[in-house]
Amino acid sequence: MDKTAILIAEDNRVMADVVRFNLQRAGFDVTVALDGAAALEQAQSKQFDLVITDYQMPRMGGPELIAALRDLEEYAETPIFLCSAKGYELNEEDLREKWGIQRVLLKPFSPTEVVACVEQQLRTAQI
Amino acid sequence: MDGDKFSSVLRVAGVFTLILAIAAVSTFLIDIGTYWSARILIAAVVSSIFLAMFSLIPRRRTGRVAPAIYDQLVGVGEKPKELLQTLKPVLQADPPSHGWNEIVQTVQTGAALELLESRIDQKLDGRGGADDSTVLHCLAEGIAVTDLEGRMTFVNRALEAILSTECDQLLEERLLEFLPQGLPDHVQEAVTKPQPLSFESTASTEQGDNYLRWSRRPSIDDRGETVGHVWTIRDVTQQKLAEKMREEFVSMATHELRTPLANICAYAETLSVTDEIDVEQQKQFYNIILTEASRLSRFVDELLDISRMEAGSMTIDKRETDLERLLQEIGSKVRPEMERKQIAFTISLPPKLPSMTIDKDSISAALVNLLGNASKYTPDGGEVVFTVALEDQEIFFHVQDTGIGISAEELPHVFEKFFRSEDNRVREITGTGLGLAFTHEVARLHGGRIDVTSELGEGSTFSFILPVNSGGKR
Repeated sequence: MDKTAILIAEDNRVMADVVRFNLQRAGFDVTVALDGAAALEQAQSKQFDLVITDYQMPRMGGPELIAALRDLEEYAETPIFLCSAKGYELNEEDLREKWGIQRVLLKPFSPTEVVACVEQQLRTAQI
Repeated sequence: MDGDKFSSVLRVAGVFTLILAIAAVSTFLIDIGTYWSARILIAAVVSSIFLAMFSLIPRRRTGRVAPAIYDQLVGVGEKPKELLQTLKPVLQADPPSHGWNEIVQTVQTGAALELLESRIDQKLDGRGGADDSTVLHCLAEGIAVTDLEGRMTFVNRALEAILSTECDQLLEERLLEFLPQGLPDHVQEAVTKPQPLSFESTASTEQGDNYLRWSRRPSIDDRGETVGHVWTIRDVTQQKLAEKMREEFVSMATHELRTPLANICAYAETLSVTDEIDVEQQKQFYNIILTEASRLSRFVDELLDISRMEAGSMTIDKRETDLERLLQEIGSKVRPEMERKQIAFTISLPPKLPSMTIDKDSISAALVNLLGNASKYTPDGGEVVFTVALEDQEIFFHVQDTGIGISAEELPHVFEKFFRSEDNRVREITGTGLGLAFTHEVARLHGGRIDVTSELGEGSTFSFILPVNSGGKR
């Protein structure tokens, strides 16, 4: 059986690497894209089971990436996590309603917690 | 002049009365010479002296009243002609025929003072003094006085400008007709009631959003009755823009603090909870933590510099500095980022560099800031040239890039605190909006300056210029 594929869109390579390290150790197949536009290209070339995207990125930001993904039939229902350092400016309820985001992760966050959230989300999706 | 004449006439009359009384007493003492008669006569003399002295008192008062009123009239900017006309019959009258006290009384309670009082009242009420409207027209705030029906009975020039409407078209019109569209319901309801009120409005103009603060207070007459309202309308657009820039700064600073902090936390936790990480990987993670901690520390230093600059307490500690070595350090600080973005970075130095007395840390921060901006705003594969040149006792540090450039409209504002371009390509890149203001301040504190030329889409050249001699010796 193929590993569960996760796409990380994050312009902060240092952060992307540590999240990848932890998710890979938990057994996931992880791909990193350093901006929204690169992430969209990746998403179109391969089907991912879950997407984790940063809010603020060059070329294409998190909200634009999510909107573009939701326009694609194959990503209409895919779980998406949004992470950001701009916690107080984001309204989680609005984001859930508008783009169907499953979770908002506020920086600084714990990588182990991210792994736990991903596992829980995928279990919920399977049920 | 009339007052002076009064004064001298009265003084002469008083002294004359006194001499007459003394002469009379002497004559009686010589002629009669008896004890009782002498006592009676001495009492008479003393009474005469008192009477004569007493007569001087109103003379002195009379002598001062007219000039004092004259001065008061001049003091309030009123020509005293009308007053003098009123006083004329009194002043020209024969003093003995009226009596000095009568004149004083006339002056104090007469029409002259009523006139003076009415003039002062008019000034206080703002009913007719030309000076009052001049003052009101000079105010930066728009002022409107409305009657009970809300019709404007006075508007100043600032209000004409704010409402872009001539005075003639405002007077007698209802001020509520000129309120901006789209006010919240509670404001629309409140303006129809007489209570004091304060609210803000926003209007989009060709020059951008315009913010006005409206305040209204009831105008109350002597009997305590409301006779209308006084409105104050202030343009608060600049304040709003400053607030917006500060909010953006706080948002940016939060992001800049959280990002390295998030990295430190994530790597430290990974190291602490994950078993079986090989030594090389562990070392790599520890190095990342160290790098991110230095980044955090650098940003905190920048914030402190900015805070000192904001407080106006930024100082520099000038010491003799080896410029060549300083430039090497600056180059090594910015080169990694240039390499990451594959930017062709070249440094061009003159054959001999002067030794300068400068604040090494702030100059280094200023130049790193200019070079950092050049690499930040230059697309991957672009070019940055750092040229140092000596010319007419000045040293030029030119930073030229092939970046996104700055528009002609925004160019004059780039050194302002908290200024950030509206260009989306700039907005995507994190920046404090204070780096160039800081660099400008460093140049100023060294007796130097900073210039910029730029073309949108072509690139920018920033020139940081310091005097060679004032900074130290060659």
